[in-house]
Amino acid sequence: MENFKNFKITTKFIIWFLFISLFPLGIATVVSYKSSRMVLEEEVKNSLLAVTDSKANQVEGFFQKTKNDAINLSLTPEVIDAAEKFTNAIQSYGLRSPEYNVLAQKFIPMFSYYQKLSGYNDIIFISLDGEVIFSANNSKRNESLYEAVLNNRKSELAETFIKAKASGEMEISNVERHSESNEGVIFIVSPIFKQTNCIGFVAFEISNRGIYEFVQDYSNLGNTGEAVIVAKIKEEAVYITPLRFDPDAAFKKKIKINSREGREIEKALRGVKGSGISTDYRGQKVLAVWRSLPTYRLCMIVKIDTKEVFAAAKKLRNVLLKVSLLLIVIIVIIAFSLARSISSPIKNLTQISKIISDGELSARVKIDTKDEIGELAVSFNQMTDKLVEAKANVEKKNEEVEEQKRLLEESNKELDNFVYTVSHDLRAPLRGIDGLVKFIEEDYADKLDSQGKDYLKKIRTGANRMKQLIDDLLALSRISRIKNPYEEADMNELVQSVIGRIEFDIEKHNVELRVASDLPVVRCDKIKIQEVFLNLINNAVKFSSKNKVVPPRVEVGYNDTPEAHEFYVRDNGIGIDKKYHKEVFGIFKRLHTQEEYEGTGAGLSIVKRIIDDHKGSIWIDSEPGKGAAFYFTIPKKLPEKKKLGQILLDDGVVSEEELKNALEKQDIKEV
Amino acid sequence: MDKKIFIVEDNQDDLIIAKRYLSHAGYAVVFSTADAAEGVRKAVEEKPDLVILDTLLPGATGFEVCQQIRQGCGGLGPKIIITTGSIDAVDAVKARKMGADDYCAKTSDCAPLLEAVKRIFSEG
Repeated sequence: MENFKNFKITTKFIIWFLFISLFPLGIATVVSYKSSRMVLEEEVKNSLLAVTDSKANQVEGFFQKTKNDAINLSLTPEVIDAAEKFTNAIQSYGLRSPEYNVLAQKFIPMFSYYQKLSGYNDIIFISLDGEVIFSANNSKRNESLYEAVLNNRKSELAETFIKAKASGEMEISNVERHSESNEGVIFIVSPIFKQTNCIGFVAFEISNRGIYEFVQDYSNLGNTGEAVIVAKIKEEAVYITPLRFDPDAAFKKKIKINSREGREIEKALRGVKGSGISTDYRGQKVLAVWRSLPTYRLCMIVKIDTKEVFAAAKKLRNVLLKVSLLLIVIIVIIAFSLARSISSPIKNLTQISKIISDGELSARVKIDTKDEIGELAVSFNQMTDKLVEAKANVEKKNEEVEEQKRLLEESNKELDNFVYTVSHDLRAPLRGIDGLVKFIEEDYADKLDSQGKDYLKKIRTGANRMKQLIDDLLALSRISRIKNPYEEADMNELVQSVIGRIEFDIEKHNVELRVASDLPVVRCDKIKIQEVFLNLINNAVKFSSKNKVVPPRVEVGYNDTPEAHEFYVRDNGIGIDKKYHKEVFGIFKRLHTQEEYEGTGAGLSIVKRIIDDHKGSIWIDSEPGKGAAFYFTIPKKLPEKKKLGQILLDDGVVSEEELKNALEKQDIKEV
Repeated sequence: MDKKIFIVEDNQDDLIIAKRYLSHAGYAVVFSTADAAEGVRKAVEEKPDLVILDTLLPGATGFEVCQQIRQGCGGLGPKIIITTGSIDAVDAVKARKMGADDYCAKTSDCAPLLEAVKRIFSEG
């Protein structure tokens, strides 16, 4: 069944159609063949029975008549008289005496007449001691029947005579083959009584040729039917009449009674009447009816070949088979064309969908019908339209994205140029102010009073402050502009390198710096997180060193939380009031007077921006006078960012690393 | 010290400051111009020991001037320092690519410049 599912639609249709049509047809064929066979068998059987009965009656009638004639004849005074005379003549004169001959000559015409009248082969007189004393044909004359029996010669006449003598009644012999004519003969032996004394016997030899005409009448028996008369001779069944297919069979053809062919004969001989399918002497299957012919212990079988009987049924069956064959052809053609009408649009659809999936989106299914397949084709085409539309949309979106990318790159470049120009142009006048004021201080020191010198100092301070502001602004813009790919960074190494960079300040302010020993490896923008630590530690150093009460102390620590790495930098400086906790991260937020603290608030703005970029958070834990702790987190699962970590330049690509190195070099020179 | 130093600089303040610090350090600035083309020509013709270039000049960048001098002198020629008023250190890389010997930021006290000059002359 699993295989059936995978068959092509055409094959499935053909199989279904054939099944639906041929199954009932097959049943109808079988049923009608069987029933017609049954009807035919019944009909033919009945007709055979009728034929059998009619033929049996004819045969029996024939034998009955001869028997009755024999009885009547044995009682006629002429016969009694003849018997008496023959007996006396033999006893007195002998068989070959002239007296006997005269007597015989006298009776022969009379017996010839009887012979002819009743169809006897012979009329024989037998003496009480078994001598044949007269034979109308002279055939049996001089025979001694006792002798025959004593000499064990097969003789039905002798046996029947002995029986009749013993019973004192008329006896009928079995069929015997006549040695010369090869006919079957039957003897009827009857005692002859004068008053009450048995004076001899008369025997009539009856030929079975008389029944040949009944047997050889084949009317109502078709082409193969025949009636067969069988006699039981010893343990063999002997056909005593000519056979339709073997005219010389009489008394020549015999079969064993207990053989397969002899079964029905055996039944019939026992007096059982019956009918059925059996095998005949030719080995042919026949429909047969059998019965006994009791008078002469014969049996009759009337049979006809089943081939002939069932020819009509076979013909019907053959017609049905031919119709089936024709139907198969028609059904296959119909199923095929029907399946094609369904499968070919589907095939077409499949083909088109293949073409479309190969990228040829302009392909469409041709719609010929409005049935389900047509609907499918329509919605398929609609789907393809939508696909084209969606693809166009995606392409448009992609173009937009590309355009935005290009614009972004452009604006990035513009920003680069802007930063470059701003840093160059804004700083130039400040350098001039500072440098030239310094020249005044140097060259005209003796011409200036302290007030003038103070003013000049204020000018230079202002200019430097301005330069610092510009530098911070630019640093902040650079930080948010440049992105680096995330990488695994060992925080222990990272913090140590930061400390290395500000070692000078730490020593200068005599700050006690404690760094937790087991900082983790964190996936982050390494360079920027370095910037975070640099700013926070630098701030902490500055703030704690301003506290004049306790020795400055800075602590770098770490807490592991499920979602994020949490770091903190704590100082024991003057602390920050809660109301400023948010404000400190704003750009240029000054919480302290310039005299107390160096630098601007840009550092914390940079830190916040970097942490924001990492989707982390940053907060302050502090109260005035109790020091301050800056906490920040880096999520353990960072969203991977697009690779914008390198910025494009006119003549090549420069990584953040190179930038950093260059910046550091510049810092050193600036000192 | 008889090193010939040229300065190509359009900002007069910066020029004054640089000249003063260089002369205080014992170097003579024998020629200065704000014009890039003239700077290139002079540098190629007169072959000074050192040319100090500003990055932003009217009509050209210091990098271009640097490249032109190097080309004009057939690859050799004077030592070149590019100075910049910008803090964007991208230029450091660019300067080296263009054949400059050093690169430094401009400051009001010219400390990075003096250091660079000293280093260049001490290298020979």
